[in-house]
Amino acid sequence: MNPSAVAKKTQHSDPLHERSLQLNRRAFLGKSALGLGAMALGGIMGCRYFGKDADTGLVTEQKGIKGVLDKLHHGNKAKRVIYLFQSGGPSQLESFDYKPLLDKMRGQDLPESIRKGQRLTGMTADQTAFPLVGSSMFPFRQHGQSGAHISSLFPHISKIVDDICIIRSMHTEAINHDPAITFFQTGSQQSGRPSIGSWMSYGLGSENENLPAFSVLLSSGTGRPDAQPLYSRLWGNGFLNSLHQGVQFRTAKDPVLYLKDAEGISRNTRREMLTRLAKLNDLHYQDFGDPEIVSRIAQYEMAYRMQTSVPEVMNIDDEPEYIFKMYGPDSTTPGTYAANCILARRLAEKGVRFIQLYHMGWDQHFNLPLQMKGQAKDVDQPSAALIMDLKQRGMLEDTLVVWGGEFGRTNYSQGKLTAVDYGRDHHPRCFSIWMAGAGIKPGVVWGETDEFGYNIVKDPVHVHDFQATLLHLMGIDHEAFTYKYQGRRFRLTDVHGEVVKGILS
Amino acid sequence: MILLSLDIGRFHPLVVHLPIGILFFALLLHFLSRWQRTDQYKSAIVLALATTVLGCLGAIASGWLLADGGGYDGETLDRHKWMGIATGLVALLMLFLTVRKSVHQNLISSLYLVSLALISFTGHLGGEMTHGSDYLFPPEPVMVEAENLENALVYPQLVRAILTEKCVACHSNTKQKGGLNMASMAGLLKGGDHGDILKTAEMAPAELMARILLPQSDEKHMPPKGKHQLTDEEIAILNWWIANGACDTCLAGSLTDFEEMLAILEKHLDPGGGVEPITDKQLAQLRENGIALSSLSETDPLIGLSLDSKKTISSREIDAIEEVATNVRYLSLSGSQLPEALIAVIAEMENLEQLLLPNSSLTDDDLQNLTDLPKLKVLNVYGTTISDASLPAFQALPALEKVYTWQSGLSENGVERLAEQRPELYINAGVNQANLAPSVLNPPTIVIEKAIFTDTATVAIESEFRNTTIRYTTDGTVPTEASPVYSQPIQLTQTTRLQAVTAKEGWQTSEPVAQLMLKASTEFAQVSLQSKPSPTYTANGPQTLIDRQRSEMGFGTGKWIGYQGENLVATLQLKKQQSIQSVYVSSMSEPRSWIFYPTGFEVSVSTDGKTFQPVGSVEVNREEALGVNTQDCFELAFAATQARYVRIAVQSRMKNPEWHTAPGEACWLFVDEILVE
Repeated sequence: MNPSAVAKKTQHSDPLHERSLQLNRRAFLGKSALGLGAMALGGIMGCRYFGKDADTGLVTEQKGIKGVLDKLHHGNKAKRVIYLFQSGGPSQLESFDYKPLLDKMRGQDLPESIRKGQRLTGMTADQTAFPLVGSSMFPFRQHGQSGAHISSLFPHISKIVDDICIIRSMHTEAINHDPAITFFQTGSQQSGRPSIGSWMSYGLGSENENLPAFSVLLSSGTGRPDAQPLYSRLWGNGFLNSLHQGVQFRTAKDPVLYLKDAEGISRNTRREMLTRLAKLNDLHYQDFGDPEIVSRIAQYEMAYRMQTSVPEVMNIDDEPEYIFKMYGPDSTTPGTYAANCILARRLAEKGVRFIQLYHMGWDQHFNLPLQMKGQAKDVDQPSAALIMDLKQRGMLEDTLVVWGGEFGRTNYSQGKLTAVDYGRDHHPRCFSIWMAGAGIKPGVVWGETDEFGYNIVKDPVHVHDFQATLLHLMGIDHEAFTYKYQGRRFRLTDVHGEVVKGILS
Repeated sequence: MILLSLDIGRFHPLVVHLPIGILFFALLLHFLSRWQRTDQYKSAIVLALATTVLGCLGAIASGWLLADGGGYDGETLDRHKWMGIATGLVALLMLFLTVRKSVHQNLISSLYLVSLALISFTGHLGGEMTHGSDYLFPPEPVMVEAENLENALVYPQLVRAILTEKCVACHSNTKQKGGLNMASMAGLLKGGDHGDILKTAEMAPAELMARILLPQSDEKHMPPKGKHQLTDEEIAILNWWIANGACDTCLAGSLTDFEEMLAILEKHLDPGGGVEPITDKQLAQLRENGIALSSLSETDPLIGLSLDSKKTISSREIDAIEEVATNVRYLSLSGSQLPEALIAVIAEMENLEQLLLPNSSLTDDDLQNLTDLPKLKVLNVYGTTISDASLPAFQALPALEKVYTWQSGLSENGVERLAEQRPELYINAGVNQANLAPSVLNPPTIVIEKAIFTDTATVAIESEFRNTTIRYTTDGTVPTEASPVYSQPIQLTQTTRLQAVTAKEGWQTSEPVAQLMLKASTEFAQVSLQSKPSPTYTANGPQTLIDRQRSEMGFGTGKWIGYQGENLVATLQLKKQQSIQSVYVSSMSEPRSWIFYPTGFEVSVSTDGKTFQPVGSVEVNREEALGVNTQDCFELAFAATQARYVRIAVQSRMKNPEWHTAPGEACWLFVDEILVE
């Protein structure tokens, strides 16, 4: 072989050499492009990232999370949101959508004229019969001055019916759990977009610099403990700065994972370490100008402050006896929905902007009567207590509370319909949620489904409409609130969504 | 294909600007060549003029097509059309004269000026048709006196102003999109291509309103997406006017619901309520002082301020707030110390609607100074020390709608008096605990190491709910108020059915929880099965039944012996002959998986292993519903008998019950342990 050819080959395939070339190129591009970009950014952001902080002497000092919206698009009714997400798809037919015809026609097949060949999940697609089933096991009664029908499974929510607005005409595009929840949370069925709470954090920032603007609490249902799992990307920041991701508060010994100092590390040592680390990162930032460095420093600092603020907010021992009485027998058991409702109120009091609860187990494909009883018992009293508790503190004036799942359930039984047992499959075409508090008309029922409870006949509310309304109440125009990423401007509502004006007070 | 489907007329505005530009260029070259006394631009001028003529042709043709589509006022259109054509002809003439030799340059120059005049005027007419005739000089808005709204003329002074601002650009005398002219009452009455727009039919709004109320994404929504939209107040006013028969000469005061409309009319005429938006300097001042703006919007001059959990509020902060006092609609001082100076500033906030002072240092004196707030609707004094001395202050606030007084110093009596004096006022004095039905406590948890023990067992009982009392029994009865209170782990020395409840004052006692603690003392030599279990559920063989281990729930634990549609018959050989008097069979039920409790079992004993004497049988009548998964232990007690061999026949239910999802199918029997004592 020709020796020069060998030499040439070696030169080109030497990985170390390649790497050094790449690094140089990368460093050059990084310095010039990012540096220029960062300067431009600094100009746009009013030099927030430039100019040294008086206290620390760091270029990158940033306390709390600052929102990008200098001014809201219009006056806001809601200052914060508590979203009680009922994961799994609670049945509207055993909760808020009363369909007496289904009891009359119990066992008869769903007429094709109603279904019109609409797609079903793989779980019932092979079923030969679609026996209709109503809610006779949990009879509906009218409640409050609004006279809304509510099933006997929710005796406590029945008592606060005049404080809430029930939407019976929600509909979604997704038919399976994960895409449907992702759709509700991010406006897209495919993962990768920011969650509502992240959008809020991005737009409005945090009110309390010691706590994240977007907090998440999880609980599993007793009705169906073996429920669909949830993924942390549901409260992820997507393409937004990682500062805006939801922070999960757990009820175990460490409420927030990896927050505690390692053994043998004192708080002082940690402070010193963080200060020096920040200086190093600061130097790096001055070289490269990558804004993610600023977020990283801010996250370290936030975590440091959370070391004291989180245990304080999570400790419910100082709650008086009558609060537990309101929230019910589960309320002192960490990790239950009831305990999480108390925590949600405490976080709201501390100025956390978006508090998201997830209660799992609402997926009643079979054994609905028994499972639904358990699920309803989990959430009924605490949800109602949360509304009453916020109300007595005057916080319902500026707090928006949302209760609802990702889709509804079919009006026919999945599997065999027996005297005491049936199941319901996923149903995206109509379902019920309720909202209460800031800017929402209380004691209202919005929308209507047909007498089979299959299709919507009046005032449909699409998921994007719901999201638009939520942003509207926070003072944000969903069409004007965008983030440019990969060459296009993204919105929570994609290219859809109308504010549901009829439910606004 | 796409080109074909396009309406070429719509390209008129695009095409029309081409000849205009080129004509100007020709004009420039013409005068440049005269000034420089040179001929060198001539070919360029010819080319430019020729292009202008061609461009004019295109513009005329497309314009003609656009006009054919309709929607434009005849007279303006005619003038625009003919002047456009004239421009084209003049350009053609100039081209002709430029090409010909020996034409007087002054003549050409004057033609250029003529064409300039023509093109300007044509353009103006075109613009008028596109943007409305008052585009250049918008008319002065008709002033309505806010104090004298009653005598305002609804159509001329209110409605026409709205229509002129938002609709007339496309529906005017000069341009009538959809055949509709909204500039005059006559035009409105005439309606558009689709007929009447003002008439309200039963269950259907007037077409004018219907179009406005359609969602913006609908292509029939008016004004079209991207144009200036109507405000909520404007929509309400139009609706009100139409509901009153779209009268053109009526006074506002004479229309129905005038009183209800008053607030909307006022807001329409003066959206900011006479308040100037805060300046950038004021905003910067607020932010420098770290005052959070919980509401600050582009469209609203009124703002919200939050100064929560502040131990001190400095005079600088107070100064910054005072600067914007009239702009504050929402003020939150939750958990903060309120200096007197701040109270004085709050007293000046004439637009304040929500004042949130929960857990603040508010005193009766402070509140006394705030009684003049004219617009205050919501007042939150929860957790403050204010007392009944503040009742007159609540009564004095003119616009007050809601008060939150929970955990303040106000007495129950005081709150009642306030409610009597101002019955329309919403008062929340906290959730009345007496009205809350006592909830049922959760049962306690019995914590055990093993359910089967040989000597003694220690059992703990725990309740997750704090400050509860646990009562328990060991005699198989349900605990009552007389039962012993659990205080420390219980030592058991014999087989016991332990039951416990959680109790607490103000709560309903929980359901009992039970745990059978079995003492096993009998030693076995051998165990054999007379019926063959399902090969999938043999566990660790027959020994499983006497291993003194109870399985966890679930048929997949590998600790259950299972039979489908068959009984279990087992023979236990004791190490030595002894007196026995009870047998326990531990089983499970999981109806959804076709697993049911046995219907009963029979016990017979023998001393030689050949001849068995029956000693008794027990019937089990326990059937759980679908989805209820349990396990339990069934007991048969009999008179003490000497035995070396014990044979137990456990009867399966054999078939799923009728109510089951698979009725009549062979069901399962699962047993994990048999005890002989």
